Amino acid sequence: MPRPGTFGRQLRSLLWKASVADEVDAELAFHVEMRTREYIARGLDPELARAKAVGRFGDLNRVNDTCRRIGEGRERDMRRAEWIHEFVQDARYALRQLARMPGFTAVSALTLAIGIGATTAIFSIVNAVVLRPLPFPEPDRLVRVYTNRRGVDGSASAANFVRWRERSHSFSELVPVEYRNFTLLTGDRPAEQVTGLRVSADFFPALGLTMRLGRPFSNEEDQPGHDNVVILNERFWKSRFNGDSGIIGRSVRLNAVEHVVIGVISPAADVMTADANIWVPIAFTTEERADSRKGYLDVFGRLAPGVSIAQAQSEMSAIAKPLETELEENRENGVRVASLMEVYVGSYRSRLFILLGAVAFVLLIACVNVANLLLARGAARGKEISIRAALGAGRGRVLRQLFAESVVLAGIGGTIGLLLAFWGVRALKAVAPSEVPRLDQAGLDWLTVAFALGATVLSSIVFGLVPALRTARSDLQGALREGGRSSSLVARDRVRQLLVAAEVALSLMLLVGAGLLIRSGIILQRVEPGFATARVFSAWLALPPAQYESVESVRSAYDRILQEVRAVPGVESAAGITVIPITGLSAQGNFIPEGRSEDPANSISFNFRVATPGVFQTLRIPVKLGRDFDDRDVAGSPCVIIVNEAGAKKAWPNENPIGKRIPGRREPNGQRTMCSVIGVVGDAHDDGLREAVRPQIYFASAQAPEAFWFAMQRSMFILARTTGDPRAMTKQLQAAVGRVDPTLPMFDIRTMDERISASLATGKFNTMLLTTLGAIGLLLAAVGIYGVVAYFVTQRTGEIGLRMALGATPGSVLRLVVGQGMRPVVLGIVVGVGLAGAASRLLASLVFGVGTRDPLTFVAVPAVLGVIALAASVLPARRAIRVDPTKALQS
Amino acid sequence: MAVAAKDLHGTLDALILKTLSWGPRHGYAIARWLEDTSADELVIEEGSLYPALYRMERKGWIEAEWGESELGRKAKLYRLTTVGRKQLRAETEEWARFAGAVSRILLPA
Repeated sequence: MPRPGTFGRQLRSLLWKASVADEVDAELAFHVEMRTREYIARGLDPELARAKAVGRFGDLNRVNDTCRRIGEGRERDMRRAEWIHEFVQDARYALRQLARMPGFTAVSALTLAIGIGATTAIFSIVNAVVLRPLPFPEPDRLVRVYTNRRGVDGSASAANFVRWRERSHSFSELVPVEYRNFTLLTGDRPAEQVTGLRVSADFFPALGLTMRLGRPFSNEEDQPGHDNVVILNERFWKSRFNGDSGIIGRSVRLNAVEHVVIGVISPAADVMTADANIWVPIAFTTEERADSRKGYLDVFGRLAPGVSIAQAQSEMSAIAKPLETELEENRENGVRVASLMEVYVGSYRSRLFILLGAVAFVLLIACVNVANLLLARGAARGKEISIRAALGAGRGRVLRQLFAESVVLAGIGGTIGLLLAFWGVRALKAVAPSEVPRLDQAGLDWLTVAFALGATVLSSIVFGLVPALRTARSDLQGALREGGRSSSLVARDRVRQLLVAAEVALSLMLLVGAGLLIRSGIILQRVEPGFATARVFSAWLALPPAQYESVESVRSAYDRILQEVRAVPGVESAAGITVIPITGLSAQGNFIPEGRSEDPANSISFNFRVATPGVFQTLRIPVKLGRDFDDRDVAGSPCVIIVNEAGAKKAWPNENPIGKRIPGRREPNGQRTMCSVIGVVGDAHDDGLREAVRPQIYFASAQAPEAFWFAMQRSMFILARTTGDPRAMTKQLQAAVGRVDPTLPMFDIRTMDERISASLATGKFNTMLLTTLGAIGLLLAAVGIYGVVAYFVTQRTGEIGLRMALGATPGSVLRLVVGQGMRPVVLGIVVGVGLAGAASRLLASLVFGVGTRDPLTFVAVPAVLGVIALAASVLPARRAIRVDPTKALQS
Repeated sequence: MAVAAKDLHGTLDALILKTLSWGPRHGYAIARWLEDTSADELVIEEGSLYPALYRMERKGWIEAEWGESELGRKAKLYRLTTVGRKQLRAETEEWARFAGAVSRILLPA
């Protein structure tokens, strides 16, 4: 649309400033009067002429209204157009100004781009992982319900679960989930191992999950005997069945039992159950309903309308109390109700917010830097601005102009920053550990772009306002008289020095955080896992119950598999173990050593696992006392166990643990079998290297009861120590397993080295991010310090020349100039150390092996920062001693 | 019989623009000029004329300033803008097309 002419409006406002309404009145009155004269001229009586003119006009009021409305609309259009015009003018002028100083513009825009880019990238990740709600209807009403024993959350037994469901009123739905592994056979391919879930029929409506195809389970199908139906995950349906919609009604073999495919579930389910490929009805049997010993259910709930988590918690606690005695082996089993979102992202929340805080620092440093550059430029432009002011530009106009420059600068920085963020998010996703939930959903969506925009606007205000105010306020006359060197220079210097001090303090805090994490990482690397990880192959096997019903068949299958594995050339030794150390997956049990009272205070929590002979040799866990399991330890022989040193010390301090006994499994007659310690082995880290070693018990696999194999889904990890690269052995080892059962797939194939680094990945990721941010902050701060000193040198060239002419040595001039640069640095370091000491406590959960006030970090970081600051000020200061006194004094 | 200009859909704007193409005029003069030129065959209704002027001013086709009328009275004078001139050309062509089409039907040769 063309810009409406402003001529008439300007004229009018100059002449009589009439309102639109007055104008319309006058114009229409004029018309009526002219018409009246026309009629009089034609010979009509004036009275009559006027009446006729008015009559001819028609509804004068309506016309007046219409005209006024349109006229006022036009006024609005014009005001808007003028505003845009002036803004474009300002922006254009700003662009010209910026183009005139390409160096300044490049440095400032890039500085801002780094700040905005880093902040936006991290925000997009925080948004995806922490802020975005779960993709279910009313996600804030979803909860997890745990069996809680002495503060430790655990899975619920079926007996507990069915009673919770019968007796509670706090939930509109309470649903059980059991993770299970299945061997899938479709006839067209070899058997494969798939992960799956057993769920109740109301699971899908409880979470609000919708079917992509087919239907959910019916209540009848949730009954034993009617449960041979299966639902596929959409991802799995696409990858394994090519998205064939004819799959519904087809039959597949799961654990050697025919199941009919009845549905495909939408991918929303992936959020919580990323690795579940198939879903079957849980269909509790009568035995399962009565079983309170095995906890294997993850319980989810949807709070009933108007019920809070606290109310649900108190109801569930009341329900759990009588169940402690009502059910077998259920003592001390309480209940904990937790928000699903909290469970899901809880541990990442604080870490990511720390990161977000850290990048906000980087953005702040960037802003301070640009403010500093602008201040220097404002000083250089003192004369230009004085002239503009002298020519009649009001202070507001000058201020607006300077501000427009900030906005344009921030706009350029923000645009580049958004690009950086786009690449940054990709890079972060590529290097981030895979277990961070929902990370794959991070990207530049509208919210992220809005964030970047907000950061841009905010930063333009932060870095633009102070310099603009200062520049516009400068003593205009003075500036003209002194040729640009005004008396307010001293005050401006002070502001600039304060800004540098702030930069130094902020980057010091970042670097202290990074330093603490780096120190933790180094210490963590030195922690001995308690076993030798090099050249160890590991893979997981699960025997389908249909083919391996009895304990004997399970034992003999693993015996034969291990024989085959050991026979593979290049395998030094091999063994089976139910849970590999370091993975943090250990089962825990409470045991009271023989001879002590049944007082819960005497019970010791052990991580327990079942192992075949040879496991210690394979993992190089030293046998400190006694012996490893061997052929003597079989089903009929006395129950034997091996404990680690931490366990031995805890259970039998200052005693020889060999021959000591603890109660093991419960026999059909209700008695517990006593198991004797036959060996003590070294401590192996179970829950990652950060966690202290826990007491551990190893049971002999040949003696493990059926209930145990049931709980472990007849699964074991196969370990093989190889002479060469274990990865290269995968094929031969798979073939070895195949010679025992060609339908048995291997799962979770990894070397032990890989498992260790996976356990450290999150920590390394945090360290890397914080270090990168610290380095960026340091770089920006160095640029800022350089700028201040360089500016000082430029401003004082005359003074320096005079000093040198009067005999000052280059050394003393250098000291003067560098001292000027270092003063704010020292202030920044002092303030920064103080702030970092307070803020580092936020990192308490992330550091390892050092205090959050680690003296080494708190000395090394300021020292490094000081050295870099010194370099940044010496560099421009050298220009000062090259000043030619005669030239300096002439200018 | 005289025709009300508003009955000829969309032509009032074109007529006003044409009137102004001879020079700046106030509202009354526009009405009179149209009436005189059409020998009173066209009746310009004030109820349509003034809203049309305001609308076209908002669109930027014409602009207004307060000036002196022939009789020495203050009057709001309208004049054509460059955009308005272009618009007049477009509307004239449109009218020629329309009139031609109607003529071919009503007055076959």
